[in-house]
Amino acid sequence: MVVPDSGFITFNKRNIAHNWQYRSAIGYMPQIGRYPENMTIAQVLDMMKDIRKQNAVQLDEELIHLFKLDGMLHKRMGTLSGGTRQKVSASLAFLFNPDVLILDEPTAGLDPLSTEILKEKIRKEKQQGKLIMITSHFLSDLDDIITEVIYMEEGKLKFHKSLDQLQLDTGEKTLSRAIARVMQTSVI
Amino acid sequence: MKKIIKYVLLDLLRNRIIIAYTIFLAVISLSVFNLEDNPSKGILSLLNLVLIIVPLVSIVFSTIYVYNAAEFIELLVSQPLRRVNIWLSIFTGLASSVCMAFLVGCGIPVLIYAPGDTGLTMTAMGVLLTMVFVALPCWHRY
Repeated sequence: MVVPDSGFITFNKRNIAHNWQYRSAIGYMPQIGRYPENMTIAQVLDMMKDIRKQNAVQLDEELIHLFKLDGMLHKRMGTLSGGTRQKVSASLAFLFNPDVLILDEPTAGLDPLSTEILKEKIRKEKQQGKLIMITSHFLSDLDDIITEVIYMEEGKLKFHKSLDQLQLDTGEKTLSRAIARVMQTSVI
Repeated sequence: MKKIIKYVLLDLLRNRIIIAYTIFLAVISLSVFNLEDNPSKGILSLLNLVLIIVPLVSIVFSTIYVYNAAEFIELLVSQPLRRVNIWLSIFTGLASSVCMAFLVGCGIPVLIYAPGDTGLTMTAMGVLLTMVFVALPCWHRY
């Protein structure tokens, strides 16, 4: 909702200011998924399909089935728990087979089984050569799915390096310990 | 754009506050017309009430709706849609549902008890007032 005061973002080498078509290549999963209360899951899915009608793209409904959302399509969004809403958000992000996926705290509020399903899905999409950006506080969830780490503090970039390089620099095996080491010493 | 309007309307028509507002307006207009023998007097009393209630309900309801929909609007902004279209469709959906409530609650009794120019003018005024006061929070957020 916020338009930047300064600076710009490029997507596929093009400045995105005053451009909106580029968003059809992005799937976004918000941190807090809140939908109009009286809409059913089916209506939310239909609306998104209506908005992003692209004939060429094959819909990817795998997550909807894996999360067992097809059994509760008639339920209103207002009656769902946080975890179920999170599942709807995740399914929506993956639904249109986008080239770039931006997941904002994807595992927050999800139960362990669904977290594993989502991680498996992320791994699968990654193997298909998609760019996936994940922001997360649960570093232990990320260990086996990421290749690069971008660490930001108070809006400033601290470092951006590959996971292997980070492990080498800090001498720690797991991501959460490596980051903890970085924060302790704060020299890198 | 039509699609978003459709789904915003579907959501709003099942909204409890909209339904309560319709019933409230209907009760007020029916009782005002039944208390007075003269429909012109009735329409004058109704005008006074409508002038206060319609702007108040429109602005409070749409502000609350727009703020509650913040995350949903954020999700829409991440879709391949133009910003102007998102806000226009939210405004259209909101304005038409609140107008519909006004027309059912107030417009129909007025047409029954006091048909004619005065009644029509009052109904049109109510609709315009609704649109203006629904537009305020939408415009403010946009």
